[in-house]
Amino acid sequence: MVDIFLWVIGILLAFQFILLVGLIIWKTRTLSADQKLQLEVERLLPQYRKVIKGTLTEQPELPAGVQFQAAVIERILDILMSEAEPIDEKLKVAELAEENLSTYYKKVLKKGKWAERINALYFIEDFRMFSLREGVELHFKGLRKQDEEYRQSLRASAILQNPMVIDVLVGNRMLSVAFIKEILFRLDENLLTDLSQRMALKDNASENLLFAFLTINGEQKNKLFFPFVEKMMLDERKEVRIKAMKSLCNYEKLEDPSKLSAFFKSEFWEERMYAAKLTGACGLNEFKESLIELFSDPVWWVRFAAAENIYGLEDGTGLLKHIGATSEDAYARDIAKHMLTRKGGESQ
Amino acid sequence: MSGLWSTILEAGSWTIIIYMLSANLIYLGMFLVAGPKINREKKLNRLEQIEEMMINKDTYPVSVLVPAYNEEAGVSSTVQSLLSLNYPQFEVIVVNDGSTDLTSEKLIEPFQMAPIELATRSYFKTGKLKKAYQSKLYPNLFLIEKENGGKADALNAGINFSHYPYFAAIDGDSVLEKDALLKTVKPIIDSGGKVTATGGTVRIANGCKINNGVIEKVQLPKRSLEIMQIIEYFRSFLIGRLGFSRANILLIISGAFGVFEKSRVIKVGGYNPDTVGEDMELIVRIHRSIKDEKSDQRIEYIQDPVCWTEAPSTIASLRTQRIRWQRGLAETIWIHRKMLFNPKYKGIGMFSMPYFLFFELLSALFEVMGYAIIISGLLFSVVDTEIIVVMLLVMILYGSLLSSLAVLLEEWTYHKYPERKSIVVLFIYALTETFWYRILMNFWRVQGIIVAITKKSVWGDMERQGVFSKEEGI
Repeated sequence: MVDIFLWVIGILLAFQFILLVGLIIWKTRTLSADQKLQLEVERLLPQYRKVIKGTLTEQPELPAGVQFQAAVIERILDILMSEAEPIDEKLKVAELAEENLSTYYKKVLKKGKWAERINALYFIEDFRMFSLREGVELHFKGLRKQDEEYRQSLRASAILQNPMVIDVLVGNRMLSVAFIKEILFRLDENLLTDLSQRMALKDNASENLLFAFLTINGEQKNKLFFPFVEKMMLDERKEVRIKAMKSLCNYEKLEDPSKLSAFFKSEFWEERMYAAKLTGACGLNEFKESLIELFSDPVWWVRFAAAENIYGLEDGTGLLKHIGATSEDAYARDIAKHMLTRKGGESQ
Repeated sequence: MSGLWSTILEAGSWTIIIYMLSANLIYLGMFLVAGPKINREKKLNRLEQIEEMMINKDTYPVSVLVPAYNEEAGVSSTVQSLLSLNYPQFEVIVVNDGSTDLTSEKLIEPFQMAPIELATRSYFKTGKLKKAYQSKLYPNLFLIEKENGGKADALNAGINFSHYPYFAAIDGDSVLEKDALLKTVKPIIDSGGKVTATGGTVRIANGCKINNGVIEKVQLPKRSLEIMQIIEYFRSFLIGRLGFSRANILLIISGAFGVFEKSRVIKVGGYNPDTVGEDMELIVRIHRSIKDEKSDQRIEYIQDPVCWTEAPSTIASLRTQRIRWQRGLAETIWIHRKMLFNPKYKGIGMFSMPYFLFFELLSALFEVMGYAIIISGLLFSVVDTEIIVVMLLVMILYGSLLSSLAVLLEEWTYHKYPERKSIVVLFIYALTETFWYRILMNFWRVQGIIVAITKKSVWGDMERQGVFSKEEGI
């Protein structure tokens, strides 16, 4: 019996010893590879800077070994892309990426491990490698799980303006608003127009897609779709109205302010809150009294929004002082005083 | 008579051997669940992954709550590190929970804090708020002073005061890495809100070179006690939590650093001030409410984000901490005993809770009994020597193997310790764990159970070495 256990402990100790030796070898190799990579990057970066600036016409010679070469040039181009200011410099970085990395990335997408494929997709997106548009699409179509690889393939396809993305957005009802927004931000005006037409033609697109579309237009202050967003403010669905109002806060514009009046008395606190926010964002002095009434709203968020947005109106500070000193409502007095000392509730 | 005793002791010995082998196998199973995920992601470019979140308007604003009780040594560094976080929109709220030292003063002067009027919501009743301040230098930094009510009470007060839909709770003696908050919030954003709470990896800062709240060089500390805690943290986070998280049965998000959906926490009633294990108790309550509602929300652990914290460096302070942890665990299991073996709570009721009861709470009792059997067996020869040898071997294997594997996972993921020497040191310490560290832990954990039963408060403040206050530039 003891013999068996002695064997077991012997095997385990041997296993741990092998593990230790393996780890030391692994660590040594990793440290030396990192150092080698760092040295090559430091050596070649200044020369590549000259290539980007146009003061050097020939590309410097890269070190041997496909994988090491790819790692070096990837690191250099990543640094250069973040430094590049004029658009032609960025184009030059993209051109160098196409020249040096497209074959390698094609291979990684076909045969690489999960993390390597995702890293490749990140850089295809960063370097705008249009030659890989079809390759990424093919790769995307072969995916079975909707994990980070699925999302990153879609992001890369969107930045490469692949119309396939529109089909996915309209067809996949499981995508979150935040993720759809990420995709929409990458699309150019032509594809966004296509999408809006698809959404208008077929009413079966997910609500998330509509929400994301409303939101990004506000965030980008996209004039083309302003009438669409303003119209949605009066949609029959509460969530759509709220998203439209939120978007209009970003536009800081309302063609027809009379549409807002009813929202101050809405049964939904979110609508009352956005009425306050929109009043502040668009500087609608005609709703000053309505805003003051919201200081006594039963919902804290509404009171807070009213107090925060009164600053956008004429003599906002004066009004707050007046409410803080004279209001019969203790809540209203508190929130007004709080806001005065917090300088408009600014948190960042 | 001696024959009867011998039979009883032998039966007891075999029970303990089987028990410990089971515990070992379960933990090994968790390694097999966690290992492939870490292996798969080990080469992932984590910077690229979060790059866009910095400018994305959907990166939810977060209120960072820092409960502080007598944290004059480290609070300034903690705040400094939080203010330099890579995150698009956040506020930092330090809740001074009736400190008797200079915690407030350490913030008021350097950060130019000016008094503000208070108009907070009251989701929860808390100790009375006395004063609030806002920094003139950083408008997103606030300080609230309140009457002492404990950590849970301070966090509840912070939630009442906070303005954003998500909050992060961080200890006053911890610092976050620059991207930690972005990485912790990422699963929440990716899941479209399906993830309701996330926790990241916590590391021990003792021994590291720190400057202005930033870890500049990761180094191992000199003291054995601190090194053993480093190994213990690797094992607990990289194997235990990751394993549980993958099955959505994670019961702990470390009090040192976690991010929560505020509405969910409000719905379940906030932190419970009646237990010293408020962090675990909250997570169990959130799981309970998720299951009661039949919601598909999840609680996740992310192996990447790193929060550096100060570990106890003396026997006395470590003992204090461990007794407290054990008491917190016992109280949480007792409060939620109805979930135990209750199929309604699925994996939580059928696996996590029993695991925590039998292998985290009661294991110390079994192991201490094992020591007693080994010693009595050796002294009085009442137990077969073979069995004693087997028990010893099981204990050694139990202690060292998983710790060594945890060191491997650390190297696969972050290899934060830049020298080869550190691996050897960690490995050797992992092998010695059973002979001293584990014995100490087990005795303190048994004391923790006794304290939980007797409700005796035997601890005061935890003595701190102040690793963050010794840093350069402060």
